[in-house]
Amino acid sequence: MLFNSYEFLFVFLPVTLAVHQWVIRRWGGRAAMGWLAAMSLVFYGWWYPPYLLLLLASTAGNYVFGRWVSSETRTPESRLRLLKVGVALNLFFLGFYKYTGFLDHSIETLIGYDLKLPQYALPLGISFFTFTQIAYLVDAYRGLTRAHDTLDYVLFVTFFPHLIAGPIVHHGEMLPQFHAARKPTSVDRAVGFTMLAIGMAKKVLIADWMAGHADKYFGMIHAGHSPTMIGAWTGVLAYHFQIYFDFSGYSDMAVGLARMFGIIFPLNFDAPYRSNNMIDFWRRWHVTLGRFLRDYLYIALGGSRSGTFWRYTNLFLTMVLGGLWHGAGWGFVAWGAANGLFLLINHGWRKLRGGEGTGRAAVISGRILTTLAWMIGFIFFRSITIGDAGVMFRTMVGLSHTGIGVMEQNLPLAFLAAFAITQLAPTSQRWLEKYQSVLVQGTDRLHWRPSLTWSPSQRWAVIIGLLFFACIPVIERASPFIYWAF
Amino acid sequence: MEPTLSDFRKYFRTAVLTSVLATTLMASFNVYIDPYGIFRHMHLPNMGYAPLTWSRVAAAERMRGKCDVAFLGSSRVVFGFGTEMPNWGKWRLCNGALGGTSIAEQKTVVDFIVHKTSLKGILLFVDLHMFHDGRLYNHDWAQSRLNPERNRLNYLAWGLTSLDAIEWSTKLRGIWLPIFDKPKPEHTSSMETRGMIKTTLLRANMYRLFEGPDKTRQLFIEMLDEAQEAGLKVMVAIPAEHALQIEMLKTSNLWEVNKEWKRFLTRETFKRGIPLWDFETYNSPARSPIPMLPTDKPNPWWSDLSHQSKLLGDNTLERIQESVAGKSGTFEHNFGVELTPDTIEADLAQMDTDRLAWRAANPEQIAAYEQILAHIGQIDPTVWADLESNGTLSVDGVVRRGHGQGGAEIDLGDEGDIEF
Repeated sequence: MLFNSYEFLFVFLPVTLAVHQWVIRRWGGRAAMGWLAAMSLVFYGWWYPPYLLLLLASTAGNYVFGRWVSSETRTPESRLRLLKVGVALNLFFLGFYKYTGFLDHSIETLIGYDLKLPQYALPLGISFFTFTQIAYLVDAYRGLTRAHDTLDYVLFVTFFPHLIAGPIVHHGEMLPQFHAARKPTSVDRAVGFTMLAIGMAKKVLIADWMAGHADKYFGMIHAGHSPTMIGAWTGVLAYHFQIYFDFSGYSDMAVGLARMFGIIFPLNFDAPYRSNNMIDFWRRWHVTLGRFLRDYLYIALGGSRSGTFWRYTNLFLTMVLGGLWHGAGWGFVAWGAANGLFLLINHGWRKLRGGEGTGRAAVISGRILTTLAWMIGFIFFRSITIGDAGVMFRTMVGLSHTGIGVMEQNLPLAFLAAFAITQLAPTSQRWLEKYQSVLVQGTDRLHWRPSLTWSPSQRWAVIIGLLFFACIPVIERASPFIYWAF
Repeated sequence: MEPTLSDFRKYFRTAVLTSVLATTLMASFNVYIDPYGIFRHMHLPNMGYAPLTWSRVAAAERMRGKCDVAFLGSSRVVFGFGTEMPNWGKWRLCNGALGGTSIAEQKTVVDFIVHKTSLKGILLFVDLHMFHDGRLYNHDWAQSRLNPERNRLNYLAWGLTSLDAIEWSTKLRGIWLPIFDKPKPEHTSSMETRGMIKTTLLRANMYRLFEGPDKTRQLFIEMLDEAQEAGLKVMVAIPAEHALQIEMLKTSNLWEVNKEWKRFLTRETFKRGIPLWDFETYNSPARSPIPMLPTDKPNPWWSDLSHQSKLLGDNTLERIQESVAGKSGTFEHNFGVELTPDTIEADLAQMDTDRLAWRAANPEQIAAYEQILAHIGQIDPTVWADLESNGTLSVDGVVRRGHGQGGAEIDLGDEGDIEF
């Protein structure tokens, strides 16, 4: 079920919270963790019950492999072999469910031969729980995992706030929390509900509204028609804000939901549209994915250990594979490659100039260039085909002979408002920073003055309550979160 | 001063209570107005609500309510009969018609009737364009009980709290909220006539690019069989059309297709013992002058060129009732002709004759019609190729597509807002 659905908000969440509270009082924190694990499985199985078996098999398999690779009674060679098998099995299942169709289609396009490979519906969240567990296996091999039991591990993988679309939680952050089974306090509930309301508002009131406009122009191109130049820019700008508020909103909701149960998630989104360069951007956008790619892919490929050439090659490859992780399509690969290229350019620029400029002109131009680079990349990401992306680019620069056109009346104001929020509003976690909404705060420092900063006052309670209420009428019209498709 | 745990507790309670109270108020308002008729069991006798006429959600609820025989069909039935239907002897009638429907959708309606209602019969009004193989479902089908995958909790919550429910609850009470589209401006009948001609001829889900009927024939047969096997009394009728609307069949090269379609209907209904009435003849309402100029008077039989008025709908119902009772004589001979294999060829030949007579007797209407055709000829027809299901012609003449994916905008002139 979606977070922004009637079933979740009116039934699942209230029941899970209420029973969790009761179980804690009656039987304590560990029993409550058991309840959460059970409800997380219900949450996952609601969509398509047979795939619950896949999730359970993955969890059980990785738990057993984790025990094996961390066992002190095995030889290092044996543990390494088991690690490789474990990682390979994870990647196999991910590839099987996610990339079979892509492989089939690509081979058919290249050489005209249809392999007729079987294709299955993509299990929700498979990309996320696979990566979460690969990281666990690798660290288990390295001896970096802490003591935990089966329940801790099950909850680590299946805890519903992060199960479907992240954040990609790290065992080091989560296992101790599940093991401690801390009883949530009023602070947790208050902070959690606030984050949930803010996240939902970003998603259903802003992102989904922008989605309608983005879909119109990208859809027009896919149907074989070129919009006007302004139409193309409208579609791109709309998607620019859609993806920001969609992912930011989802991240806030996930953090808020976890917090209501006394669990604190890592930071996953840190005002990336305030980045002045691509290196900084990728420290703020999907923080936990960036962490995984750096620690378990880039470094595994060799990192910067083999000289400058391999450093940048590994960086580029990591971004390409990161793009492929997002989706089984050449558009995603192109998106990853574009971001890899922009990162290389950024690194090269830094080396040439001896660092980043700090003057106002440098900051402004850096932000504009970073925004444009990001837009170029996500045009591949959003377009249905590479060809569509090409049409979009041509149209944006006026090469499609459809004329300049005019923007719809209310859109300039809407874009301006969205831009203002992305540039001038503090992040949700910064707004609630006194109460540690996330494990570690990000680098974005924007604050508002104290009178506008959140506190558990009745005024803010009414505002947040009304904000939550404002989302309910449009729940039915809401689309799934973009990252749920991965 | 640092907040205490008590402050956080109060904050959480206030925030949750605020959302719960606001949601409850909104839900109560939607239950009270109940634009779709979902909560009719909760209504007090003097609440006096009137659910939406055209909505699929409301139509499905009507068929689940106090109803024995449902009228099915397209918007012609929606507007021609309305929701306040008289009894038919001891049978209670209700209107289950759906604007812009297709035979594929009507099949799901019959599935719904058979499995989810206690109806005893259906009177199915069929138009040729319903048999268009390329017609898709209207978007609010998915929101209705007609959609077999509609989750009950979702449905009820949507009826209580959705923006759609709020929109119609407020509009039905004459309250306009700025977040909703303004009520559409009134159009003169002449604008609607010209707009309807262009829509019928140019829209891909009407007469232009007409496909079939091939797949839809089979669906229609399956639908009849399913209804009869479930013990429903089935009746079929072709609703009345104005002569200009019939003329567009000729313009679109669908005249012979229409004849063949009537032969098919006659065969399949007759062998199942299902009565079939044809009101698509050159009867008096069909031949009555339709307003083509702003100075022309409105026609009492037609609310617009394509949709009959309640007056014509009442007459249609009476004619069918008379025929079911084995009587005749109240109406002119060609108002509601009962089609059988023995009579179909003569009736179709009569259509050819009557058409020529009507054309000869109405030179001004024909001239105005041909002027519109000339204007259409100047428009690039390929821009309509990507239109899917219902779209509208807007007041400013710019085409808005419904659920299609694009297409260039064209200017068809100031013809007003027409919806199918």
